[in-house]
Amino acid sequence: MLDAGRHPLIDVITNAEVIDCDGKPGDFRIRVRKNVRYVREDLCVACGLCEKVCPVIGGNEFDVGLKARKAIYRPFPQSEPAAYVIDPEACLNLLGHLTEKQIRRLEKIQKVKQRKRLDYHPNILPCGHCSEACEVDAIDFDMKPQETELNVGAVLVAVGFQEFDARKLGNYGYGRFPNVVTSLEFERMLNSSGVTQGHVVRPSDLKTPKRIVFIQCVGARGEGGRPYCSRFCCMNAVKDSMLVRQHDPEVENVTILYTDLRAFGKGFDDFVQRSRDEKSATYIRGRPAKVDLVPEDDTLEVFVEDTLGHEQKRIPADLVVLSVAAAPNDGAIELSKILDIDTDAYGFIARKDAAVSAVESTREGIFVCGSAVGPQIIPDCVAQASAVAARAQLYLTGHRIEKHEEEVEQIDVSGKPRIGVLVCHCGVNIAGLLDIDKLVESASAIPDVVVAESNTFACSSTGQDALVELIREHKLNRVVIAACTPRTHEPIFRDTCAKIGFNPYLIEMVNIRDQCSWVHAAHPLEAQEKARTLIRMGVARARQLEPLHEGEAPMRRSALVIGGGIAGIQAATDLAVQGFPVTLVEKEGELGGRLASPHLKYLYPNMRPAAEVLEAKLKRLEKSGARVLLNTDVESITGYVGNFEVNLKGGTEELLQVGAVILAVGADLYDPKDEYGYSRFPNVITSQELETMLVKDDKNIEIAGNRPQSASFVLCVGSRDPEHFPGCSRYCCPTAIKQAILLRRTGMDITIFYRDIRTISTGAEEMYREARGLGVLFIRIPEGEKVQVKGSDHAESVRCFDDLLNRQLEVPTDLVILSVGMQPKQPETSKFHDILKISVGLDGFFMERHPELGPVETAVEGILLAGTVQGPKDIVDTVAQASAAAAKASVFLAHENVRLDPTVSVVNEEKCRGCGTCAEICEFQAPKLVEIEPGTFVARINASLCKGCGTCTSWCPSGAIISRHFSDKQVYAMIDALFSAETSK
Amino acid sequence: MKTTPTLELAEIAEKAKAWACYDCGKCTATCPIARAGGALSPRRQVLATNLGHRENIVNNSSLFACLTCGLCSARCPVGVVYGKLILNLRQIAYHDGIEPECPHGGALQSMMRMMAKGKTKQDRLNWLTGDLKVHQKKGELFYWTGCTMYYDAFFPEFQITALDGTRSAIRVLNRLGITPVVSPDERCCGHDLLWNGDRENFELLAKHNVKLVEASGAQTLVVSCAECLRTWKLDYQPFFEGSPPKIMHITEFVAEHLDDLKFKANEEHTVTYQDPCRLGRHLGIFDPPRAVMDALPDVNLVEMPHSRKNSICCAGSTWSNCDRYAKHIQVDRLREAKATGAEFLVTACPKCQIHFACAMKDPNLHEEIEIPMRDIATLVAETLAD
Amino acid sequence: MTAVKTKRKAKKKTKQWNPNIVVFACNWCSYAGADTAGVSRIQHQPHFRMIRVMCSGRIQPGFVLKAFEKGADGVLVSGCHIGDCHYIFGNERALEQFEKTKNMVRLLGLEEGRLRLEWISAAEGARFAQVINEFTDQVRELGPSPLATGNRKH
Repeated sequence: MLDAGRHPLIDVITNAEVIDCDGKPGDFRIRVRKNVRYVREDLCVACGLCEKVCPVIGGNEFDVGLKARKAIYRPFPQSEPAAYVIDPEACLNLLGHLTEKQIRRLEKIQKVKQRKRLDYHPNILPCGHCSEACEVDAIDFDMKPQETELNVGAVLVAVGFQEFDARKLGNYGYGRFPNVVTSLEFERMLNSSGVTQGHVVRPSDLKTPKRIVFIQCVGARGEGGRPYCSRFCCMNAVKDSMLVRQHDPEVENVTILYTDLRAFGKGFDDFVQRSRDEKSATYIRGRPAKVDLVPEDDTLEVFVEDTLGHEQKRIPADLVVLSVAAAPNDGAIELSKILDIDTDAYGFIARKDAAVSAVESTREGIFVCGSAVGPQIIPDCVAQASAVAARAQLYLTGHRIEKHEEEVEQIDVSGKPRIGVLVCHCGVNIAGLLDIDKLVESASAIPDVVVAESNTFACSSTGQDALVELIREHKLNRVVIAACTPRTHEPIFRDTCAKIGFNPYLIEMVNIRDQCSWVHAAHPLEAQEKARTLIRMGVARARQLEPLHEGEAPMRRSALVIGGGIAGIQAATDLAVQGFPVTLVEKEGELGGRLASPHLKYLYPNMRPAAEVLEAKLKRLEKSGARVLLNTDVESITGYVGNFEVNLKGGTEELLQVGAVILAVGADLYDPKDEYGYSRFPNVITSQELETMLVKDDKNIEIAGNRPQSASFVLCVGSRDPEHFPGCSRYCCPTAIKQAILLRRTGMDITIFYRDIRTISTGAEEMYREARGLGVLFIRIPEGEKVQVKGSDHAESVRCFDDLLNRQLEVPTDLVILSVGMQPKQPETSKFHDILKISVGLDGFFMERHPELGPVETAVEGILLAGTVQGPKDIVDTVAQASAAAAKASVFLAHENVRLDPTVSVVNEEKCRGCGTCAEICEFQAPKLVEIEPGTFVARINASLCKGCGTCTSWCPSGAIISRHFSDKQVYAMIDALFSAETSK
Repeated sequence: MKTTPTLELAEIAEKAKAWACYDCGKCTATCPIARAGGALSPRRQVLATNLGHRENIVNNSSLFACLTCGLCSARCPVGVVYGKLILNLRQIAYHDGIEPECPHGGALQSMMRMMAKGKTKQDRLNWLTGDLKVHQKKGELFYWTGCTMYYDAFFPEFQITALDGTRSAIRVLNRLGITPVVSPDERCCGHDLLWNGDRENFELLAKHNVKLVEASGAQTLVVSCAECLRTWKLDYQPFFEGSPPKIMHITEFVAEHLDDLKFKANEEHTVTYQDPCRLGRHLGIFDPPRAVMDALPDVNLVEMPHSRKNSICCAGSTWSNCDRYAKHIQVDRLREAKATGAEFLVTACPKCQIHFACAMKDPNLHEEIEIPMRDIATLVAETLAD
Repeated sequence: MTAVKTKRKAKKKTKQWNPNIVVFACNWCSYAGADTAGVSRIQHQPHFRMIRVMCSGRIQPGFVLKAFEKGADGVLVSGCHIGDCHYIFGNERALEQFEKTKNMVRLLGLEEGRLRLEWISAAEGARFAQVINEFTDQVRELGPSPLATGNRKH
């Protein structure tokens, strides 16, 4: 959030709505109404003085009403912009501005108060406490809504979702029984910075619930008229159950009532397994009808059929959590009308083509991502958001290249330290508790401090001016700013310093607000002492600071995409249309991967012919100007972001130089070998082989000259199997259902053997219902078991214990289809793991940098993952991820130079023993051993790969590595200063 | 503020016989650091001291580059005691607030200084196994363990365990019918602090340790670590109130009692021996370790080209000289050891073992320089007849 | 409520000894968690001083030992939860280093309770405060570090 707020090319307009959209792709004119905040964003320093004096209390939306807030408030602690906002419906000073609706509401409140004989006074004089308290005059009651027009090339709709209103399912008791809460309310309680600081309590008596029951699919999968699956609720319940058990030993048990456990994401099944191993929750398959109140002891009771245990159960509960579904935003339909885009049957924004593109709306130039199109898990949302960034480029001009700042003359900072100390009052935030004058006085007495001053708001523009003046007047070469946290404010002070040519790495921030005055209000004397010591430590560290300069390395503004499947095609196209030279290499003789004939017939959910989709994609690729090399393999890749050298061999042999590499080599399908009679029986085939038959003729399936009358699908073959791949392959459930529907329509009897039906993609749940409607039978395979395919020379039946029916079943069948899962592609995965040194996860697939924050990036900068190399995905997710990879690659390629952060680790080669410890432990491959003379090796750290964590520094046996800005000297100076008695000059 | 006033340069020069120097440069030509490419010229340091260039000396990084191995002094035609010069110069530097940049983030120096403060009850004897017989307070013979237990805790990544040598020494003493005093209150001998100029903390340690040994009533003090031994034999002398006990290296002690030990003949082993600088050149103990190895029926000692007085340092004294040049010296030394065809490199100082083990951790030279190591006491203990 | 109040008053009267605690924190999680405690005004005891590094992987045994050498009564090492490290595995490396440190501290004869490792995320302001309070009380219980008295005075 902070990153977006600070980005020079991002304007954030909050508290605003779109009221009109005109124009065409590349040239939209959007009218935006900015609603009134009554606090000027440019002036507010978020000091919180106003909040303290505000006399009105309202309900806190961020904490879903669980907690109160004032009428002037910051929506939540990390809000961006940080400015406060006034709730016009609660503020006592805004009566004059009230709308009729608001006046009516007020009257109603007054009436209630009157009736209940609360302290009723009919007349209210304007209040204005906040504007009196505000020291920067940021409060403006005369603010009016403003309309602005924006001219943009593309529009992204990312309006998210809202909770399904659980009151609509009255039987669950939400709204009637206080101890029935929604998952969001539960989440706020569980959050350590939330309403109850992480303690889960029963709203009725604030006691810790001993027994918690989660009810899944509230408002989803058929409940409340919504057939779709909300995707995130299963994992959320599992996670919450683990958290609450870890946090609170008083919670004795958590029960999760589910239908299918949809742990489809990367590593999710492992997570569920952990929860089962740790017994954090009891899982019961069954959906309850209602929640009853047991008035005797104010507990609840949930009545459910345990569909696997074959008994009806009354489950006592102290707290019931409803895993509420994601519902479309109330405003989504209105917005869709303004933007002239379609919505789907439920009111989510519609995608142009649900089978292929996750991010295109029905109007060109308008994109959509995240849960605005339907429920999503975070990694998918983030990948889609990045995908939009790539696709939208087509409609944007300018802004591609970073701005070059003017060179300023550097201030000479050499010589003995001349330290200036600036102590910030931060209004009363600091000065309210600490004696600023005394801090200034003690700071002045520290050796090398030539001046110490205080300022009301050091971060305000006047405060910044004062800082500049201080540096110039006293010829400072180090500055210590005792104020708030460097995490938010260091960039501001650094920026100011850089602008006047003062090396920005010579400032040191001392946190006497967030980590002192704000948290030690009860101990003013100790807080004062702490602040004094912290300043002394800051000065000691400042003495040891060194001027640092950002480095630059030239960026080769071109990319290599490895793998010519749908992911590679998409990534290459998206990058090439932006004007970057792209080379796409494919080992085989044709592009298309699994989409190419004869692998795939139709795409779910809308039965788009795969050939048609591929043709369109290939056309776009051709138009994009990307260079395609077939029958070509990558022999080696060396270098780092901006400067990779790639050796190609095969069809085209050359040395290629690129700035970024996108890995899109795809995944293998599991080979069942002799499992399920695959190698013995001719009528046992894989889902892939069936697809090939369907490509040939989807009306007449023939096996060894026979037309089968019945078929059985076996799901999770090679997936969710600890021996092969522990995770879920995601694509198989909807694919099997798609195939089943096709076969069923030819008149065949179809049975599907499944573990959990995980139809999590858009439209897939509907397809599942359709299949059931068509008479496809579904039989659940019990946990940890496998079905048996019986027969002598060909498969005759499939045997399975049906744990829903609690008996052994044997289904005669003419054809068995094994829905094979995905496997890491070999030998490619091992090969690229070796040459690129990017990590492979426990499941064997390449590891992303962070599941939520960096789903397409790797630990190695400039190397990106597209599609199933990162883990199993279906086509729509693969395409989105490929576009995201292109977007992330273009982030690098947009720059002429690679900016090298100077706060990295460097090697003192005289001290280096060449033991290779650093190279061994670095996750980013930054240190390498170099032979500087025969037999003498030293480590060199590549500044463009180093992230500056300093782990190598602490492991270097000879002390040869220095973590710039966090060197041993700097840290030890602080420790020394902490324990040294104060000295005067 | 320091307990012992530092000497003036002129005094230092006099004590180290530096005035005799006629700038021949043989010391630099001898110096293993200089030969490995490091910018260390003992001669220049001597000259600067003679000329009284204080700034030039204390701020010079080469002040801490010297290994104090004593090889230059052994070769000096006029007998300048360079080690003594360096020791005193470093004290001046320490007084000025200049300390070497220590590897491992100074963790080992912190450990030493914490011991100097005393005050805590160390938990340093939990490695004693049931078969080892020791007294904790009083006895005829005091066995000085040194800080091997700390090294093992701090360097888990090396496959060697310094404590093996310590246990073996006690085992050998037990076999001779001796139950040594092994004290839980032993502290760091202060060798490294002293040689880095911190005389203040050294003295605290010296006083404590001397008192501890005196209180035990021991007539003999047996030491395994060469650095501890030097410190006890030479640097602790002024701190004794009564007459000091007989201070011996474990090899000296074993060499004197060879007749009382029975050895079995295992499979024949060819070994080579690293003379620790402190044991060899500093104290002149060259023969006892060799006598011990000679007596072992299964050990066949092959000398390296550089041995005894000419031995090359393990390049890691005082946990402060760790760098590229030190590594160079270690690699050369290990190559020399391997070239003898020996199965083991035997050392008589746990620190030699640690420094060589560190050097062997090298992804490029690994096989060229890897040679298994043994502490000499372990070698003896393993050969004891049942 | 009143019981708590009187208890607090009683404590004040006896003028309890307060420890001197050093906290090493990584920039991305634990330091941020302390900031979160601040933003949410979650009060905790003030007897600690924080030293920020980028990653807990940077926190080497020497840092902790130096703090004890100088007289710290307690040292808290903190970083991101395992799996959440901003630098992927820095905190796992920190854990290895911490084990070494712990062994050294044990050998040196300092109580194990003076040294602690905690994973605290950026969101866990309340947990940060709780850890600080618990650790402060724990160290207070142990009393001053034996090494605290012999400080070198400059």
